[in-house]
Amino acid sequence: MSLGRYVGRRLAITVPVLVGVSVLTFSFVHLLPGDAVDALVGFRDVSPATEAAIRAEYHLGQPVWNQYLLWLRDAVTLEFGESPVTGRDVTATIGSRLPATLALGGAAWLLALAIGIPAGIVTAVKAGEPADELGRIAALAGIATPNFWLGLILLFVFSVRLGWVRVIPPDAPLASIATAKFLVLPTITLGTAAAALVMRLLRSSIRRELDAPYVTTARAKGLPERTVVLKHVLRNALLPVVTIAGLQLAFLVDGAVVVEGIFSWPGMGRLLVRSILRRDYPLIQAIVLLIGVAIVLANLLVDVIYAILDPRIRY
Amino acid sequence: MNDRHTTERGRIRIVGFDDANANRSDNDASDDDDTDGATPADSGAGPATTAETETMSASTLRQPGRRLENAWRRFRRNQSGMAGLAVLVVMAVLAVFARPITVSTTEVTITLQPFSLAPYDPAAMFVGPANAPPSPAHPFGTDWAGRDQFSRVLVGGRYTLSIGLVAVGLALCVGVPLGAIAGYFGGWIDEAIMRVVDVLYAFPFLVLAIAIVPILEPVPILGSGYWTVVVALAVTGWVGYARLLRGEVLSVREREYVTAARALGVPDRTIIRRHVVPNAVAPVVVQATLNVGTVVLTAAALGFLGLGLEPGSAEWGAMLAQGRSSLLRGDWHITVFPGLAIFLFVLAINLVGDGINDAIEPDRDATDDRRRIR
Amino acid sequence: MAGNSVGSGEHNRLRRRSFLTRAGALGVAGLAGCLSFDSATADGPATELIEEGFATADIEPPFETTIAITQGEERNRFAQLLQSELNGTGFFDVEIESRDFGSHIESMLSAADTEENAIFVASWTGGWDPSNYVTMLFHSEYQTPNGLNVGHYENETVDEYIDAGLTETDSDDRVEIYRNLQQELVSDSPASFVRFREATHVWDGDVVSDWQTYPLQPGSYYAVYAPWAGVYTDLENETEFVGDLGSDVSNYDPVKINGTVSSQATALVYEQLVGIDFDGEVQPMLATDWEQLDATTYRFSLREGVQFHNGEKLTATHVKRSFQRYEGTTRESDVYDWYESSTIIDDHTIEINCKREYGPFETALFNVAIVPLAAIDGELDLQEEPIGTGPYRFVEHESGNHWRLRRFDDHWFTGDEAVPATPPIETVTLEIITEQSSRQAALERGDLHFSYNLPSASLSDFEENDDYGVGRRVSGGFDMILYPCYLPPFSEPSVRRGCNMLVPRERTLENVYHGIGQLAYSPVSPLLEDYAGESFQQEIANEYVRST
Repeated sequence: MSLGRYVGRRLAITVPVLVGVSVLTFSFVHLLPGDAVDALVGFRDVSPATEAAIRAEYHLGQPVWNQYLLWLRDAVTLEFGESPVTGRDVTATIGSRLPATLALGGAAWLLALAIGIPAGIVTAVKAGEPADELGRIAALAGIATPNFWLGLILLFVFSVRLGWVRVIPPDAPLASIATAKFLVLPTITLGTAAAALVMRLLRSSIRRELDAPYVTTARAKGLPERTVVLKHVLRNALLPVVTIAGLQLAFLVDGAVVVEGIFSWPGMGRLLVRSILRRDYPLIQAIVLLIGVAIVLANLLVDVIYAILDPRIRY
Repeated sequence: MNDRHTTERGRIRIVGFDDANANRSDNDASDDDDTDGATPADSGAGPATTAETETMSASTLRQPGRRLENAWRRFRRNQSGMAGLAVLVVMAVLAVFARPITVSTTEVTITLQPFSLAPYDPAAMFVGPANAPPSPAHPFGTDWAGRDQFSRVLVGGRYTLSIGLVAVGLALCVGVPLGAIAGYFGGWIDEAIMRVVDVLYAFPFLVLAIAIVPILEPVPILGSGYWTVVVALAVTGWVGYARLLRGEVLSVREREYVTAARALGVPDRTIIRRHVVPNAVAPVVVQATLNVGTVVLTAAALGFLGLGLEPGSAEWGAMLAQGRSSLLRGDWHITVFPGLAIFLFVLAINLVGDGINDAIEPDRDATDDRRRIR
Repeated sequence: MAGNSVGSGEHNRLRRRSFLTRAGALGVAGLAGCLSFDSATADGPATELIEEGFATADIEPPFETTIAITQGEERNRFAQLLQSELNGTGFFDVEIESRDFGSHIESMLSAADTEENAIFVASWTGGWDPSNYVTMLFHSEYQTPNGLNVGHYENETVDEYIDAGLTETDSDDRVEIYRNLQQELVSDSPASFVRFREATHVWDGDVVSDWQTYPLQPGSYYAVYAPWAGVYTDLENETEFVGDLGSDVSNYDPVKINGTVSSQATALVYEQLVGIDFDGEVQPMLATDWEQLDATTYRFSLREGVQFHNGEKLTATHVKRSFQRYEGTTRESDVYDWYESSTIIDDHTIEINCKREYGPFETALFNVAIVPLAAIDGELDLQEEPIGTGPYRFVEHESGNHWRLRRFDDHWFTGDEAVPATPPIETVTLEIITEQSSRQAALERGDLHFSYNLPSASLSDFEENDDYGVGRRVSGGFDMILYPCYLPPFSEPSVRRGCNMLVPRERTLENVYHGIGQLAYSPVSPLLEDYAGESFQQEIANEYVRST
């Protein structure tokens, strides 16, 4: 089918997925034992009138149905209301933490590509040689190390013992040298596993491509190996890497929760954990919805790019 | 690793029946019943074709026994894979024989396994000075409560191995059937299941786990700890397998033997079970093996966040997470040994997974991958 | 034939091996807890009591139960020690369940209603008055969910003592009452008290020359500048003080604050009528003088020339309306437990009426922040920007990152011999660091000048290091074990007494807390020397806990 129809079809499928994401977000928050009022009031002695008033303020008395629809209607306009715990606007809170998250996540993703792609190419081309074995072992080591352990060790060695980098983020704007310097360690911690995955994937992908007939043809034509690999093979071999780029988003969020804690980085991972612990419903829902939508849209984008690059898949 | 080097010359290769050739050449190598020296490969076209047709029809019926044997043989030739497997076997043996395994009711106690490699009871406190570095009495040192680290690391293998296997196993039990059904029947069943998969995919694992763990706590059977972690891991893990299997099934269901089976009137249920799934399951097996490693690491991360097993468990990830403050104090032995254990385990699992990958499907067509994943 | 027939021998071996592994591992995992115990025999006074109680309650040992804790390394370890003790007697089969904070509170609040079978480990922070340590926990009126009497403990004598303590204003009489109360509580043991916490402050000796340790956590940063308490701090070659906070500040509005960290962060911003200083003495703050007119009425003279950060001048109206503001909020009990009404005599004089004679009156006043009328009337949102009369004003809060305050130049204090009129420290920045190891690392590297919550294991290292100053004071917090008094066998006092004797206090203090803290046998903290001094604690210990 044509590209337009394919994109249209995928878009159409994305809508029910997004709805499903919103329903799931809303419901599991409500499955958590306790609600925001209990968390707020705790064991304090408040009059029943006060408790009822607080409940009404956050629509907690209404049937779940209604609550969901009210929430959804507001969510579409990015109005997530006020957090019962902090009293401040949820959207503003997320907005203040979002840049930090994007900075760390983006840096880690770029690192994964910057290391993974060249390493993948080198180990694929030099398969069987010591460079390849070394690369494979390094990749496996990267995957096998628990990320929080890696983070703590890096912190211990480079911050405490050597003093090269700060332990806590510097008092400087996000787009500054000081912050960039600080971000080195967290980025390495977060990006190592992803880099290893990219490397392995690219390596096996290139090795498969190297067996294809067009490579034999190119070689027969007398093209230098370098051109064959970089100009022809790479373009095809990168496709699986593009595929997982969308999935990487989810992995990065997972890793971020841990890494943000160790390096005291004010991102959304820590915000999410804290809001779940405090049963801060509006905040939990907003963050999870945001992450979910981002992942779904990222996957959609990846599908479309793939469809552009490889027309065969547009069944 | 590349099976394209055959002794047959001038033969037209038909892609897609590689397994037939592989089976044939392997059979020839190992079968003592063959006539000496007169391997079909060297003779002319006639007997070759007949033999080929025979083995072809045999293999088109897909004898899993034969195929597994061949895969195993290929695996055996893979050095790093074998090394990984050896490490796993050693770990498993150590885990089983670390402390006695007994089953007991109020009256009777049956000892399943009486040996005890671990010198101390891993839960026994103050058998040595607290936080002591490695010494002959305590090769891995002791922790804050004076418990012997060596014993704890040995016994910890049980948790790690079992969590990995059980969580992945459960996820497979859910993911494989759903993926097979989606791929085989297609249509709206496929759409529905795949949308559910998409929705779950949008939630990063830790987000779900942080939420699932408190939800599961009140459930009586589960309580906190072991089963909560395992269920959380399984619930989030099945999604990948379903998607992967579905992709494979999409291509396998077009194969001739499936059409043939349908034509013979074999019920769908049996077709899926006996013909489709065994042939589609290969990449899922590879992925599952690799995932045992990620599952263990994720359990460790949950321990770091405080959502893991019962406090005091000798599970490697928990030991690593609980000991993190000692790193800054210089008590390196508390985290290094469980950390190394996890590291070795995940490394070994990955080597095995890679080995399996190379052994089962030496020549996969890359262009099909993308279509299968969607 | 085709199908999943088992193939060659090798295949079999493979499967058999992994089956064993699985079976063995699953067996262990599934049977966790089925260890063989020493049979349940009574071989000491503690176990005899327990045996007695089991018999009365008609329970067969071993009794299965759970220790419920929140997450945290130290809590974790203490639970393990306790588990080991209890299991060792043979009367109990104990598991540990670690939950996140929200779920833990939730389960404590509903425990009695659902008859949950669990022993709860919890911490409580009292304040400067002994009533803070017992009322919410043990009075029958405050049974969950209206208080923290988790076990739904009911004891008339205890209730009488608590009520008497609240309404008695003579301090000697109060001491008498609270001592009797503590005796009663320890002998009945609805909870076991384990350890009194210590405030442990560590600072960088190169930057901070002298620091006073305020014993209660919300007041940790009073040492920066508290003229009403006669305390201040100067820095060497620095005008910015960098401290830390253990978690993000959530709410800035006094009527909504729901966490110690939020109180800590806003301590320098808001002020109250009176304050309790570093020695526990009541000092005038926004009020210069007061007298008790009759049993329930007090007259206060307010300080003149006090300015709010937004320019308003303090009057009696501010005081009255700040009190009234608590009505209908989550913190209304801070005020309306005792406050009846107030009468404005003139701009700087106000009379406050209590519902009844109230012993902890002054301590309670210390909890009520005076806020500007603009906030009370709704023009200003204190949740966006906290405005008070304190020596520092709010600058910014970068969520998850830091909290910053700057010196307020129009603060009312005019200086005396002890404290200068202008606070030497210009900026106070509190970095938000959730991970304890990171906090220590930051202090060591010099990214922080001060930390109040370092891991106890590292404290001795800092004490030995001359580059750092360490301040330790017993604080108003204690760790305790709450027994489910609604559930047999814990409904039997003898069982609880027995368990109380078994609690591994010394071991815990030594191995889990590395000596930081003090052994606790009764609820009131030795911070309040009159009510629970050292000798009194020893008496209690000898009589009720140590084997006689």
